[in-house]
Amino acid sequence: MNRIPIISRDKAPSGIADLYDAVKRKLGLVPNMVQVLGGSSSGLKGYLALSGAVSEGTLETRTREKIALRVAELNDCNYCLSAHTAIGGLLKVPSEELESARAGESPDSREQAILDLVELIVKTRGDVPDAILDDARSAGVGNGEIIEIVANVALNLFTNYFNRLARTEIDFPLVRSLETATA
Amino acid sequence: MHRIHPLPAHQAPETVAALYEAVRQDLSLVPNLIRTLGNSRASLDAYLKLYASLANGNLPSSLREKLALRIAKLNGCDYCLAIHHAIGGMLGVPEKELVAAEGGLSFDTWEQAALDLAEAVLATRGNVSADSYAAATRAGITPEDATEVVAHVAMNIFANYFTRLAQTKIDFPRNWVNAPAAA
Repeated sequence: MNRIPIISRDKAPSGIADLYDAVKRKLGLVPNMVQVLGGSSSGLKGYLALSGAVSEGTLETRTREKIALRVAELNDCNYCLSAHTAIGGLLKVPSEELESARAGESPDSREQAILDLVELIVKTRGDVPDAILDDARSAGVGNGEIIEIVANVALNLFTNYFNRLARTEIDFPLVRSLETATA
Repeated sequence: MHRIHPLPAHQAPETVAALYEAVRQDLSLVPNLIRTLGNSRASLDAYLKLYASLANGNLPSSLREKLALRIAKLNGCDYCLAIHHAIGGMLGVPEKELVAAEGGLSFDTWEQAALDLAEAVLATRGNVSADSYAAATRAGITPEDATEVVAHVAMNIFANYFTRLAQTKIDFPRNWVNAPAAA
């Protein structure tokens, strides 16, 4: 049961309904998260603007989904794990790779350096050790991409914290965090 | 000092320089935070769009600065403390209120509830207890307000984690607003 209610399209002001329609054109559906954010015009617009701009960066879409899965796992957000596993599947990322990403692992050395950096950013709140930054740079991750990685972490913390607060009902095939699944 | 250096306007691509100029018109200077984010056009664009969306929300600018100070304090971000003291001063918020907010306190019940909720969101990564959420609701925090608070937490985490990672140099004193026509 949601703690922050869903604002369905028929109850949403026209500006919000238009945003729902834009999401639907892109994803084919309007996830519950978007309809819960819809209770705050600035919150929904802020999220969509952030997410849209971050997607215009140079990181590959599949790498961004892996970052999302790793951050959701670290924050124990089942809504986000379920949503990003579904999106990763649509992008044809093999399910074993999606599962490894949740555990912070990638078969690719550059992506591995990115996932390592992501984990340290979350755990140190940005104050990552020099060695981790050096490893990322040695793996070919430039300053622009390092900044994008921070932006992706922030984007995912937004949805993780929001869905945990709102208790958003999961509208994708359920994926539980390793933390929840073993608890 | 800097682990990622600011990108000066004259070296920046035109689209990035245009974003700098928009910030200059608002703040009368382009903070190192912005010029360092400028190394990634997508990330700077993402940050500024999120910022602009939230500026149109329900939370007044004085409270937004107070939230920024509290979140920066909890994340150990000296750069963000300096900048938000300066902007808070520019908005005419008394220094003693800014200092109180940094410590998580407000003289106003509703503002206090917003600060408490932001702190609970950070401490629990969004999984705010039923008691804390009920206390916020009793103090007049609506679901819309709560959504905005989470969005502010995310936006400030973006700036906090980023400047901690980049080790961005503080480029104006806390009392910048009072400094007579500084630089």
